[in-house]
Amino acid sequence: MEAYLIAIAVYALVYLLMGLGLNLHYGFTGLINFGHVGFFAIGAYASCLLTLAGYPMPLGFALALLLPALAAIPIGYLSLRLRSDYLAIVTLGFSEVVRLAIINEKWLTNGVQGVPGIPDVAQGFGLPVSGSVAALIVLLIANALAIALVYRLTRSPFGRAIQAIRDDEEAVRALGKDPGSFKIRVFMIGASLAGLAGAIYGHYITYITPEQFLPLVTFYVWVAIILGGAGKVSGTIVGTLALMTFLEGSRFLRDLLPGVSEVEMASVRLFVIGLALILLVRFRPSGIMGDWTSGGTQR
Amino acid sequence: MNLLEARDVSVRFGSFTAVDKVSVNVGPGERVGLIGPNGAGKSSLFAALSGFEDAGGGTIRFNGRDVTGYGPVRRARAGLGRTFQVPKEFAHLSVRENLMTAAPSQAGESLLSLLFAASRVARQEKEIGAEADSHLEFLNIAHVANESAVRLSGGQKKLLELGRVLMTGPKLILLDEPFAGVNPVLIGEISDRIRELSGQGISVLIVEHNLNALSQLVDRLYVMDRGRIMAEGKPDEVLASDIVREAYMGGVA
Repeated sequence: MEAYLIAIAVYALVYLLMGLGLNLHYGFTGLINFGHVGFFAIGAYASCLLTLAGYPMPLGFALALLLPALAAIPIGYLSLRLRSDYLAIVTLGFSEVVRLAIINEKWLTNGVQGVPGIPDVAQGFGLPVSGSVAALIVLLIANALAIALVYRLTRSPFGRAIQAIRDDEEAVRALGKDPGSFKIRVFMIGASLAGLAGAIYGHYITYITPEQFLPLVTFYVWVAIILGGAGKVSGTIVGTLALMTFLEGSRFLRDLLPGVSEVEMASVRLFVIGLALILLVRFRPSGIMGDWTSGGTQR
Repeated sequence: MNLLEARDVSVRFGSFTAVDKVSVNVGPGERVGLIGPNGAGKSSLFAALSGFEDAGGGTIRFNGRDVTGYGPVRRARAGLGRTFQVPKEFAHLSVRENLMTAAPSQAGESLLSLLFAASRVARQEKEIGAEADSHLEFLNIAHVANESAVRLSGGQKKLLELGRVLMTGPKLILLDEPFAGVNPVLIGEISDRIRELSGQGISVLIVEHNLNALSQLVDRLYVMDRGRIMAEGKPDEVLASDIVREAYMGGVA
């Protein structure tokens, strides 16, 4: 039972770290990123492969912050010229390109067989605890730092400018500010957070394969930030908790639905999550905590 | 010497010519009006002057510089500000934050400064906040400074946009229908503020359908119809001319 709770906590914190990044993209800047899992995957493979090659884990984490940020630069440039719905398609395509590259570049990633034997977080940081507990500790620290960073950013002149871009980009240009540099930087920061989440996830699970980086991961993160309320840090936290409650709680639906196979159950769970989301947007369209349209300027 | 000199500006949408080789000037501190029936090309001309549309082979000089190739960001930085017909407030920022956003070259927009020069950012924020407050006082909307901009009335949003442009330190403001949807008392107030601004040397070019309020406010009027300038001169003379009557009344027939 303890192991199960730690596992849930680890997954929740991985999703939270990704959600904090996506919330910067969408909730604060209005950028529709449907390819968040691409940054997550780059971070996971970067850190895992680097540590397997014998380099220290902190260096792996650094690369997991850096590489997704670099990958975000071209996406950021594309976002300057694309309307938001096209950006959604391009980012979705980007994450699939990343996944297909992982599958096909076997010399580096071992393709669909995946990368086994990844050092766990306890080994990487020399902690006298199990790999799971070490991952939990590192995730708690990473999320605390990320939350502090997001607060610092969004309450600064930079944060004011990105929220202005979200509300009316044309007006921002008419005031002599170039939205482009803000968007690219936001893309990079959010991508870094997803990349770090990927790295810690990889070292926790110690075995990564391309099928762990399907677009479904991106949409779970979207579900979390919309459930909680986009454009608010508290919304991302509450939304991630709600998502995990749905994902894990729906496991126990099995007891209520005898005769449903494991495969069918996976579909039932998605159905339950979908239904919950529909009910929420019907009765509480701005999320549990209220999103940017409902809370004035408090966050 | 003129502050703004636009020569032979054209705006085309496909085969439709919205603005056809139009030339306008605005002098320093001058208040100029631009009138004409709906579809005359006024908003398209504004879009070309502010860099949102191409000048279509014409040239635009501003403050002694050729700004024809400048986009909206560089024109605004050069001191050519504008407001919009339908106000483009930053809906979910407070009124005060709306103004503060517009202040040019803020240290706090750089990530490095945020991390390593926090005190400089904080000091500048204070200055920018004080400047925003003084504009809010001047425009008489200080009492809604902390409201979300989305909650303002139409007239208050017009004032907010004006305040936001003032934060950029403009030499010329293009005002797109500042009186539309604004109650008569507030129209008088906005007019007074515009007079004070031109007293400080800030020029204005105003598109407006409220001819009565506009003619009392401006030094000079342009009349536009079907993409061309039909008349230009002192408000009383222009409004009394047949050309204007024809543009507004006869142009439809």
